[in-house]
Amino acid sequence: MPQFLLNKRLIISLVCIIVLVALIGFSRQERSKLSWPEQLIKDTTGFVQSIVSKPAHVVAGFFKEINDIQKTYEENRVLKQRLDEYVQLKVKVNDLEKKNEELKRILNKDTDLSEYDPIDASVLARNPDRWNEIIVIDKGEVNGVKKDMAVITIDGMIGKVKSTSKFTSNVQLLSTMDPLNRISAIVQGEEDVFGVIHGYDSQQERLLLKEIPIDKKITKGQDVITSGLGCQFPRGLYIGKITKVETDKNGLTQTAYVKPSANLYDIDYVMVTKRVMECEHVNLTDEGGSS
Amino acid sequence: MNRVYVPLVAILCFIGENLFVSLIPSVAYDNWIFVPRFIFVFLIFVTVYYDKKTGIFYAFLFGLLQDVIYAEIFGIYLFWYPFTIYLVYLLMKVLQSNIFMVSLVTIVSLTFLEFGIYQIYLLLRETTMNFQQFANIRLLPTILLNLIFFLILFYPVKKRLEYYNKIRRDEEGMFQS
Repeated sequence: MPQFLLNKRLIISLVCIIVLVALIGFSRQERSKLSWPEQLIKDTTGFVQSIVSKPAHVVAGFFKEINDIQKTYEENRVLKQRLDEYVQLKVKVNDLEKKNEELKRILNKDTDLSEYDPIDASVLARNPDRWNEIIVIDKGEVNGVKKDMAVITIDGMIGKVKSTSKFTSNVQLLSTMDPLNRISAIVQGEEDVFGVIHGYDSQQERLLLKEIPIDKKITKGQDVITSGLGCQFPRGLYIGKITKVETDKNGLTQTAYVKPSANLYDIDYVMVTKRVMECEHVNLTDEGGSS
Repeated sequence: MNRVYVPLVAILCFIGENLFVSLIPSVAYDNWIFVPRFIFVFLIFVTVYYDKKTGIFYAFLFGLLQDVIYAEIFGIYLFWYPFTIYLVYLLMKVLQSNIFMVSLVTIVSLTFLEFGIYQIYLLLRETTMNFQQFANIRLLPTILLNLIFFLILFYPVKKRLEYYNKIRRDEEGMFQS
């Protein structure tokens, strides 16, 4: 027997490294569901965290409110100015909604891509090491949350559901560097331009909107929304504004820098969007057959 | 109290990490990344002043917890927490356990921990930080934050742990005799 095999410490450390690599490999594969021990651990810690985090948020919220009160006068002035605008907009929106419904009825369409049922949730915890930007929310499978649903705040989209357990779920924020994280998006303008949100520039705090065709003209300040084509998200969730456009190295596509509209740091309450329109793979093949 | 003290404080530290990140004002969020490693700092105390086996056991346990709850990549903390704590134990065998030396060991082990985890994420291609950015944005603020936490905790926790350690030793001595 070789001498080094008798060294207990060496053997233990070698076994440890092998186990480490195997474990990382195992957990990196795409899993549609978590195993029950994981779910159990998550639910238990989620419960403990909710006991502590709710009072803590109340206390923190109190200080924030004091801060808000100090700004009230200034805000009130600005809001009054915008009130007139708001009335006009409201009338216009009502009119448009009515028209839209009528047109839909003519076309015999009762659901569309942009409809969703919101599930309200509050944030229990956040990943302390911020390699993966992950928040834990207090709604899970029981409440109808499923993997890959889009998560929004009032200001716009913040991320998607990464995994669920019975009573909690993990939300992966847009700012995570995950090679698998892609969102199909539209740049709103006279003509809608499609692209894919893929990646995050942590230095400039901008999302990268890639694969925009080179012949499409995009300017600073245009709005970016989800397209709803990816089978997971509803259409029309607001992502952010374009701040910069660059041509790619190969010269075939453009990349736009998008400033996320939602605050990705200070998140207390979120909504999980459950899309009303189911994704129908069957329909596509039917159409193919009839043509 | 003897038996519950370590797990109780460990759980408090774990929740404390969480609260720290969710309540930190966003001003401090933008330019630096303060990673609270309260549980790790506490486990250094346990290893130095109480018992090495307990320290490594809890490092393993809370490493697992961290992996399962947040990143869902098993093995990162599960491996690095116990391993670093073991290195702390090896270092402390040759060093004196006064405040200066232990804080030095804390700094070294935090650097080792952060760097190891950075390397793993670099391998997994989940980060694009280069070393310069990592050192400036992550490492220095993290060490600073945890050193402050260490200094606040040093005297009360050291006193308690040494006291419980004495009781534990006496009990073991009683059984042996």
